[in-house]
Amino acid sequence: VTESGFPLEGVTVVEFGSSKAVKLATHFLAGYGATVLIGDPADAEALDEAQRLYFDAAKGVVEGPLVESAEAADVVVTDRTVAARTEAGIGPESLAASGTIVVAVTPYGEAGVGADWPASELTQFASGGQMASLGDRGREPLQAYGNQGESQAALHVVGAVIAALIRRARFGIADSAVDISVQEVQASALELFGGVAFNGDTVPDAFMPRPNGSALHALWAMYECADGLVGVHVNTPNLVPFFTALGRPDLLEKAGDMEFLQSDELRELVSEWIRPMTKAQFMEIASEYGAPFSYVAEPVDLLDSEIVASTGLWREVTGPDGVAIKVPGPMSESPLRFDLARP
Amino acid sequence: MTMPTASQVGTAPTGPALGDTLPLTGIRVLDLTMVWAGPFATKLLADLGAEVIKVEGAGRLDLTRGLGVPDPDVEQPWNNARYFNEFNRNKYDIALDPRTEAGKRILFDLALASDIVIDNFRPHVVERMGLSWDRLHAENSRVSMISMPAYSSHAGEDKLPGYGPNVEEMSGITHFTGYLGEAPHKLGISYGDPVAGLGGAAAALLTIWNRERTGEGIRMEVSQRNLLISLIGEAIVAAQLGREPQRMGNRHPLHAPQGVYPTRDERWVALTVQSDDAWSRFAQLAGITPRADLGAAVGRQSAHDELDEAIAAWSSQLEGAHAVEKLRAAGVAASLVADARDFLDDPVLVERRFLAEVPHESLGTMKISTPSWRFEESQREVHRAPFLGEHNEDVLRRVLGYSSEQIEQLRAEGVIADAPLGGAK
Repeated sequence: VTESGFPLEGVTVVEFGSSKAVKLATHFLAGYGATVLIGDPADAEALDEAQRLYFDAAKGVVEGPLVESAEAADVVVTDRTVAARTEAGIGPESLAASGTIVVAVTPYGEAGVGADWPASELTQFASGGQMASLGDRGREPLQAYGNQGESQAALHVVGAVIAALIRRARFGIADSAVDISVQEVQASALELFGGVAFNGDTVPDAFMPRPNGSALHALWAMYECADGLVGVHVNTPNLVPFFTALGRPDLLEKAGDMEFLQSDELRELVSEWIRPMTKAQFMEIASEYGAPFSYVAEPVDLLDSEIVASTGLWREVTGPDGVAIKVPGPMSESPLRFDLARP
Repeated sequence: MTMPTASQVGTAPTGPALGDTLPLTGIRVLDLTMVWAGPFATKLLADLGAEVIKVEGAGRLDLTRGLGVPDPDVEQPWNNARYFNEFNRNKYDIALDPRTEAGKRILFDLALASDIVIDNFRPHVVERMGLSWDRLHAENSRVSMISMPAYSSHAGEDKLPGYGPNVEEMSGITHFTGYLGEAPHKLGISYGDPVAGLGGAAAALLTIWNRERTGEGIRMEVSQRNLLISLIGEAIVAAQLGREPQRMGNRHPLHAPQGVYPTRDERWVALTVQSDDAWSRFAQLAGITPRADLGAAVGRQSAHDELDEAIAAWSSQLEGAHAVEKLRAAGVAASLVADARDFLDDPVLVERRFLAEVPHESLGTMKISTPSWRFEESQREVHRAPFLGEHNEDVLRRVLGYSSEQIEQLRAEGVIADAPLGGAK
């Protein structure tokens, strides 16, 4: 690793936007050592306290004219359209001339037919194709918590920034401009449904929008346990550990009987087995048998988990009254340094 | 139609032309992944110009080779799956038996000749294949390794398998997702997978960037669960501040009204009124009688149930696309709840050339999504996914310097193959 351990040390990023796609991406970049400067203080004010603590812990603020900072930066990350950036004096031409990488992330693209359409967290999620699969059959589709359209886009932004830096280092191209659309990001991640539907084929029932809420069938469902909800998500390769854990290895005789494997009879059997157990007991069994079981974790479960802590996920920032607050840190476990503390 | 085997048609290299300046041009990725998370990561790397060599067990194919085959009676169905094509385009493919000594040797030599080795096995599996990080790093310190387990390699969860829904549940995102006041709800797609794919790609890029600076490869472990936690970090912080978010269905904590409403053509329209001005315009459009208590968002939150009824009554009279058009014209954020079938004629996606038409020997012209990281005009051409073992000969000859005789012997001994071995489908 570099002497400081920060892989992005020496890289300056100007953040021009307040969307989660921008804020979360620059949180990661700052953690890996980039100097991230908030281009418009009003953007920071748009966040609530929890968002500020998470997203902005390691960032500074542009001092002086935005144009000068943007032109001097290695990278500008923005959620503004081309027209809005041009009006702010940092349009594509001026930043290309200054050799600044620009990564734009907008609901429908930085220019073009949808650039000026109003959008929200909900409508962006609706536009990308993933919401159609979430919810109960016969009810309205449901949004995922936490602005997941923009969350995925944020990871695209991180990748695009690093890719552009690599391109500059390897090929001397300093003015890469990357245009990321939140809609497109989601549309490119539609499991089987995408490839099949793009080609007009019949979509299997299991992949149709909102097949059956949280419980597709007995082996792909959430169940109530003594202190919450647990998940059983079992595929064919997992049938041996599953039936062994269940204490019914005899049922392996029916391993090829899909009707039984997806039946209400088996669901009831599994339900009865799980109901008296705690989440912790259930997960002990999962580990013992190597079965793909899980539980619906709450924040306290994650914050108190010794295993999660052992992965090095958490970093601390200072909250109200000097209280230490845990925030998720690096995208992966590695020798690369990730730190949100700044002098 | 009878399809020739890969060895009959020869190889169809899918790499970028020499001289391309995509970020990863000239970077080789050894791809030991299957299903969705890993292939999604390596698809993104291929989009950025990397030469991605996918390794499959000739007796244990990528499961997605069996998903979305339009004609189940087609010859070589494993080369005709939509799912596999969508997430494995632009890659090379070598199929071998990793249980044989010769297969293990090929794997290790390919790893040594690569810049990145990436897997999404459970922890320790890759070591059992002879690819321990210590050994690899000792022999070529410039190679990096990326692993993408569901949880981590740490004691207590290293033996725990997990699919996308397991990971979602263990990350906390399921806890926060649900209809208003109801139980936690499973996400629709296997959400842990694409998120892990994005994280895996970003990790791979970090290794290349770091090597540009230090000359050294590194090992990175992308925990799918941890990455998902990062996507709801603000909720984790809010919980510590005593303000844990509640499940709100489709509502917004501040803006109102917001929701998903039915339309006359049995579609759903999502809309958000984001300001008081937008509310005035929307109320006029939807024929909702102005009232003083609805002038501010807080009042509209209090009357949300009542407003939902009024909006649903209005939206139910309109076609979905027409409702969205009217709402956008009034400056109200709106979208049809789209599914993939809508994308064929979505005006934005058509304009952005979201789908490429790609020739395929038996599927004809096939539509595959184009790279979502758009580097100006330097887009990579999209090619179909490789046939099973399509590049056995090319990779062994070009990358490892095997002779024709050696390759023929490997084929005869069942070390490499271009059709499933042992009845695999």
